[in-house]
Amino acid sequence: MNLNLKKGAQILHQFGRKIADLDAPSASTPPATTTAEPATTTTAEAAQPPTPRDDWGVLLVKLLAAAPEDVSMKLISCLDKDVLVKALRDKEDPYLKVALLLLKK
Amino acid sequence: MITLVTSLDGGVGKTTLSAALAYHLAVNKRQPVLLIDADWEKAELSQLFRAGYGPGWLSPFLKGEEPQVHRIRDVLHLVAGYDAVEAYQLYDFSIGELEKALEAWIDHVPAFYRGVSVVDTAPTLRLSFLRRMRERGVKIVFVADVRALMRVSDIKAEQYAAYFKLSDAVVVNNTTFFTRNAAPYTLRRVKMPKDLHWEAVAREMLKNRHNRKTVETLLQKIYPAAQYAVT
Repeated sequence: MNLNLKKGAQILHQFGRKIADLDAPSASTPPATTTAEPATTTTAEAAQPPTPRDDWGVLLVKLLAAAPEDVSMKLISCLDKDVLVKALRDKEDPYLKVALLLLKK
Repeated sequence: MITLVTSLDGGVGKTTLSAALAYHLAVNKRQPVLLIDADWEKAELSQLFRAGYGPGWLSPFLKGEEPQVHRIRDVLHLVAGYDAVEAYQLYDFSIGELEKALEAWIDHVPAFYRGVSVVDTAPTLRLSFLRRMRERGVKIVFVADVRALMRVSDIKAEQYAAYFKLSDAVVVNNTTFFTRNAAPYTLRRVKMPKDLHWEAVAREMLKNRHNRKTVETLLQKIYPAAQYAVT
């Protein structure tokens, strides 16, 4: 197999025209990183970046609430029940408290 | 503004230096950088930058396909080299053909790219090729490790001398505290991060004050003040 130098040079020439503005940085767009983008979430709340006040329990609950149901079920099955209950108990939410009482029943 | 990062021996740190140059220019100085992974033996730069598999710099010549340009940052782009590695392993190319394909890139890049282009290459490129690159105004950065400072044999010493003569700058990598001033541009050995990702590697390298100074003075040398201003 040989390299087609003539054709390659032609393609490079055309390609160069297409990407001539490659080195013009777009001022409006923030720099992209090569790290993986966070998965899109279903709720607006979950899509917001975590604040420093969010403790691990809140983050865990947010993750479980935002993930697709089958993923959440798989994750929950991997977690210790006491860990989840502890995460939920810390939240001052009457609905959660009732839910926990129901679970205890 | 094209820089060719090359060496005589393998594993001396060409790819790491290319990543560090790109990081310093694109991240610290916000200068546009185009990286071309022309190491047809390994394509480690493409892997370090986690570039997805796709048409690379050799594809126009190999398959008649346009190369894929990976956007790493808004001012940092990479053309990968997986196709060249495959071709080098599978087909009976003469090195001259690969050199000519790379020469075509060197000829075309300035037409569409005004930023700094850094070309990471395979070791032991032919001297005739490097001479042609110099004639085109390409800056040649030769990377060596401490072996270059030891006189292993007269033949090896002559080989180094021939490469040094064609280089705009010689960078000696992996120096210790005692050999840090053995050459004008030396890079101290640093602990490599567990995650071999370009940003982590470059950051770790440039965290060292000596290395940071080396990279800055190296850039000043190969891109004089009119073209590259160190802020």
